[in-house]
Amino acid sequence: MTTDTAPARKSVSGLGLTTGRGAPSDGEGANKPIVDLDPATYDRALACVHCGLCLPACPTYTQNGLEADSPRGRIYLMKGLADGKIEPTESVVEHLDLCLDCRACETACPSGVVYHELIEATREQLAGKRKRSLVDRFVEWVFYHVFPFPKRLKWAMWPARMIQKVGLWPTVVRSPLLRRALPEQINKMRDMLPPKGPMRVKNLREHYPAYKEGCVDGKPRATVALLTGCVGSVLFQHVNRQSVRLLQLAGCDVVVPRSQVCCGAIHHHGGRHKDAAGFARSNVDAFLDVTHREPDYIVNNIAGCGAMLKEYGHLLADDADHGPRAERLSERSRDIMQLLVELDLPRPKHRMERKVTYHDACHLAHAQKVVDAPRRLLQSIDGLELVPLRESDMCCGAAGTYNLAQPEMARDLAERKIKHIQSTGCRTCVTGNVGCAMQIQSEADRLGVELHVTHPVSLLYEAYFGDDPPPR
Amino acid sequence: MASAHPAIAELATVVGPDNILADPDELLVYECDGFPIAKGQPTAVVFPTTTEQVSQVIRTLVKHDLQIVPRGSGTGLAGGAVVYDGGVLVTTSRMTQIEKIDLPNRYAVVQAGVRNFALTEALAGSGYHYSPDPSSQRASTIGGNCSTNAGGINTLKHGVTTNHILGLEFVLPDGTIMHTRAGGVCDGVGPDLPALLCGSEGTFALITRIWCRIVPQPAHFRTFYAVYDSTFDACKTVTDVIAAGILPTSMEMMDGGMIEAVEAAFHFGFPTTAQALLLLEIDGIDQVLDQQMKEIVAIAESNHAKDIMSCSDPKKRAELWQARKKAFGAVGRISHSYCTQDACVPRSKLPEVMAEVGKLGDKFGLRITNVFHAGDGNIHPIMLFDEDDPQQVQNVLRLSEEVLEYCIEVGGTITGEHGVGVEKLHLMDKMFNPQTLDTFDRIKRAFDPKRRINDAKLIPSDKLHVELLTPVTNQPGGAVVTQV
Amino acid sequence: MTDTTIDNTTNTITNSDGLAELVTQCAASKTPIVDYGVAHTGLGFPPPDEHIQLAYRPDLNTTAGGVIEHYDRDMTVRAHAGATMRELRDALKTTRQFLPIDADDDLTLGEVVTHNVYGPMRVAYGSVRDLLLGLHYIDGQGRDIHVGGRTVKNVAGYDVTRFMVGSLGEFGLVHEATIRTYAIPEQATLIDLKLDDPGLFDRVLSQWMLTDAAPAALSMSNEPERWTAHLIYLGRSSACAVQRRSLETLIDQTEGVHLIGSTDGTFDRAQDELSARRVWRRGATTLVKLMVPPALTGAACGEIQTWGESNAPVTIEAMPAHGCIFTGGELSPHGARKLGDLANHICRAHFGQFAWHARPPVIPEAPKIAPFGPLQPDWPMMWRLKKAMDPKRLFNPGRFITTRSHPKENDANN
Repeated sequence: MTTDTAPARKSVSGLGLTTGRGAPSDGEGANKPIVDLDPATYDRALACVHCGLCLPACPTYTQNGLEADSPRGRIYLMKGLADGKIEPTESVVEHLDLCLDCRACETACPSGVVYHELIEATREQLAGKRKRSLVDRFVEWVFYHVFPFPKRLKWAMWPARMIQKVGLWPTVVRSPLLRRALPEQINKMRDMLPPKGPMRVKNLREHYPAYKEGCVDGKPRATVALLTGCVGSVLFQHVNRQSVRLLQLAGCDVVVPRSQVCCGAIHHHGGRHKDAAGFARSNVDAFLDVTHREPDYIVNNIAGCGAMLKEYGHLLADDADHGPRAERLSERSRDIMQLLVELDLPRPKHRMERKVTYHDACHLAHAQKVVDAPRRLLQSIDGLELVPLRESDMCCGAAGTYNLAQPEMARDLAERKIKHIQSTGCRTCVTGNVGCAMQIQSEADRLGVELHVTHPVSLLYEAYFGDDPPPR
Repeated sequence: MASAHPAIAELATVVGPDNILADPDELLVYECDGFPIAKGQPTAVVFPTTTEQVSQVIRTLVKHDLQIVPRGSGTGLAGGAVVYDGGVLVTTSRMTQIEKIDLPNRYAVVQAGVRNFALTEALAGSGYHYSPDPSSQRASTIGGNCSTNAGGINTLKHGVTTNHILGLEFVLPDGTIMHTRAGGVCDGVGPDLPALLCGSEGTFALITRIWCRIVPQPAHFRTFYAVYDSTFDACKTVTDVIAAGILPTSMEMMDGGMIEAVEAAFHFGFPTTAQALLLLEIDGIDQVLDQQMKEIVAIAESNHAKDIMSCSDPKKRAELWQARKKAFGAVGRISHSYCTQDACVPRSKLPEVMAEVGKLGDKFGLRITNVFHAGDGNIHPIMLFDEDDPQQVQNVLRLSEEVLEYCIEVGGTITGEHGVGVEKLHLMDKMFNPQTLDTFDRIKRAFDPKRRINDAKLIPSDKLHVELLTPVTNQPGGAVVTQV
Repeated sequence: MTDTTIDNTTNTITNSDGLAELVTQCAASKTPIVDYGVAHTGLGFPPPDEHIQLAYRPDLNTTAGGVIEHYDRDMTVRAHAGATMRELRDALKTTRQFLPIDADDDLTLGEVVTHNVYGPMRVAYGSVRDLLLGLHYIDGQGRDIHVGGRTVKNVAGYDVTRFMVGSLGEFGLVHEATIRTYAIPEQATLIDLKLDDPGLFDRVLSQWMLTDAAPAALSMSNEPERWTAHLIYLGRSSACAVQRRSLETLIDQTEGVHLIGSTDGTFDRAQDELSARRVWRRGATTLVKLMVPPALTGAACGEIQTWGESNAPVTIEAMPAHGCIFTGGELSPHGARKLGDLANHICRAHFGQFAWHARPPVIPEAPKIAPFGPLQPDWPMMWRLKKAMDPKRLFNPGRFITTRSHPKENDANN
């Protein structure tokens, strides 16, 4: 239990000290493993020295204290599966499913274990081998076939927006009958929907020129391509518009490639790597179009998408055609906060007397290591007090679509998050991810906690432009 | 195999069905702790939430004649939380209440499963903190820290766990709940029982509640770092600083191999040609720290230090400590397998000890790199090896043993902070004379006459025999258990 | 029960072999070996009538100053347990080091360890538990046991070393100790404060400890007519100056506390001053030590003072950082008993413990006086450990660990 950074010794299999229960089955070829990890990924599992420093970083372990719901424990299970020592029984799969893939463990790991590759590879292997209920399959279908496609999502949204328009939404949300009639995941989806929004979401233009005041010697400082996101582009269109204007102010020419598609994160985290790779290829073509000058940066305002963009290089490493461009895309990909700090925006004009707290989205803090930039930008606003949030970098339970797949754990984590937010005394919580925003907002509403969750871009926008509406 | 053990249903009624695991697949992850060589599968894992539950669990286990093995977060580095002989793990990971923080009296009462750092977090803003800082402090529990008397980086000036424990509540292996004198808060008459329990590695009783001292958090620091062309000079700086009457908060050292590894992995900008790097910190009254730092710099210069840098900038400080804390991870990047030893020697012997450790490495043809608490004389030689080469693996184990024997010879000890567990069981008779070992055994029996709790840890047992070095095929895991 | 004074037939022994031999002989003849030290003869139940009185002293011709080995560069010393604090102080002075324990000059290191002696300097340096690294002792079977070592960190084996601290010599005959030393501070600044009421530190100490004014030593006493606090700052003169200024600021901001005086001097002088302040204890015919939660020190002192004013004048000396109070003086047997009642009452109310250091003589009409109280919950464990380590009950038998069961009948008179 003592000190010096944990790793004592690695599991010494060379000693002949083979591991696992049911030792007699250890012989060569006794069991064909259900999960067949490629050697590079398997190596990732071996790199874990079982020191346990990841435990407190893991939201699920923090909630239930189960070793099997900790990163170290899950690695042990995945290694067990790969070694053919255990079967993917219901309980084993449950522990793996409960992982948020928030990657907080990667930040904590002293040995540099790349956990997400391991869990994602294992999930991919297990994906085809499980039975699912009708509801689960419906939810899955929504995940994979509606969310990633803004057009379909717009259509899907239409009835809800209609109900909202005629003022019946509160009745729908509160209706106990409806709540009981519908499966939990569907209720959850409905709860997360922001209570108002436009009937028709208008697309962004393809090109916005840099503002003069941000340019150097009259020339734009950079060309930036904006990833609009799929759920984001429909539900949080205003954040995209505000982002564009902030980028313009920072002296960027902003382009919004029309042919861009979903980043593929939903599929990737669900173990559907082939689908994800397809999306990645389309985006590589859209953003680094061989017939145009390549943009200096590919910017996004959704942590989950940003993290995915940074994975493209790895995902398409074996693709001769797209590989090199994917690598470049990953390198040039930036979260908007990161880029605004890099471009050194002048101090905002407007004062904002407000107390806010900041929640670190996992895919910003852990996947992209963007921690300081949003805080620095927020603190540059006159009058704004940034109150530190306890466990600010612990997952809120959103984790992409996790809150729909694991509503119980997601709710527990959200409640924990909201408790901490309440103890800051702030009524505004800022976070750089649309998923987190929807999760925290909907749970706060459910608990009757007065809270406004907003994107840092929105606050910054207000500080720079006041009530000025964002461009169309 | 043991999944249908009759004790399981009974335990479930004690702690509730949600607080017990008995599914073999789920038990797999509990077969080892932070020392993965030692392995053994428990019959069940229970998660009591109160002291009373712990007591009832223990009574149930006694009734069924099952070994009781306490476990905190399982970050121990000596195999102290491994279950042999089909025993049951009693885990404190759901005993996480901070029950009381009493600032006027400067103590806190916590359940055993409260994480070390959680207490300091709970004290945020008060100016106080819980001082012992093992590297595992964010993960490990205070109960576990007590059981192993955990050390850390700031212990040179501020002491190890035992110096910060006021009182303990524990459950004896017959189920009796007991606590130490005077409500744990103040001094009392008589022998220091909390000190005896601290570091007993769960072989006496299961610690359930701790009265911890909380102390002012140092507010002013100066951080110093320098590199050297020889480890000898760096070690000498360490002893010279102490001999000059300066007591730094911490003095940490890395050798050439380690600097190279850290540089390759994280690019902090350390000169890779250096043979040693010393990282030192002082805390105290702001106005006098600069003068003290001047003296330290002078001492370092007289020992041929180069690139001396001292600063009061918290950001730079964080960066330097980051380098220190990430050192172990960096090793993982240069060698797939490595083995970290833990020994403590009188710090004035450090120069010769470092040289000898290097020589022993050469003798076995193994590379050794070092990152350690130089101020405490607490060395952590890291032996790099290839786990697919059985000869090298044997050599690592033999090298470890020779290093530790050498440390005993120069007046040191076989473990400074990791504990004995099962890892160093076989070295106990080299460290202690037979009379002393017999005394340990008598004390163990005073607490646990029937050897029901964590048997064969820390001191050899007549019931169980744990053998790490000689593999036997019919046993799962790295340890062999023979029923005597 | 009579409070026997220690037997005069004293056996002076100089080395561990001698001790081992004595133990073997006494084991054979079933004669208890008694060593209550020089300053703790009144502490605990009195020894059995038939016993051998032990005095363990080094042969100073072969063990200069009682130091077996001084690892001066490691800041540790291995010393003969029979060496006195004065001898060690003088021996260590040559290397400008000292043992940071406030103990009278004539106490042996062994007595300091087995009685957990500490004083106001505990604030800066900790108690014996924090300083002691290793012990050698002769156990109940006459065997030489070595526990701990000379390294500052050591977790090999059970921590019997620290378990012996405060054991009142019931578990073995300590013959050697390895202990941390510190560099003698350049300067000592002694400051006296007048307190309007003894409760000041109960209220402010936790805050003061966060400032530069945190003292290295702290005590207070009910000097005639006023409560006085004694603070000491140790270190470089520049540091002491900063600390004193910080204290002056605090005094200005705090009600009910006034600066009486402040002097800068050598550390030697501070040590002399500290021992002068506790001289009264050695002469007191009635002396009781109370241990209460730190932030109740002042409140407890106040209660004792009030009692004293309406009964008999008592001296009160307290360490507010550690909840330790010594009180007593020249009291009538009845008065002393009442003071004992009060100590018992205070300690029961606050989860504390008291111990008589000098008890009043027996008077026929009054009930027996228990030397400690209230009884502690870990009692049964003590009995079992005594049996494990001293099965023949040779060492100071019955001084602390009396009977198997909770000795309720011996509990304080309440």
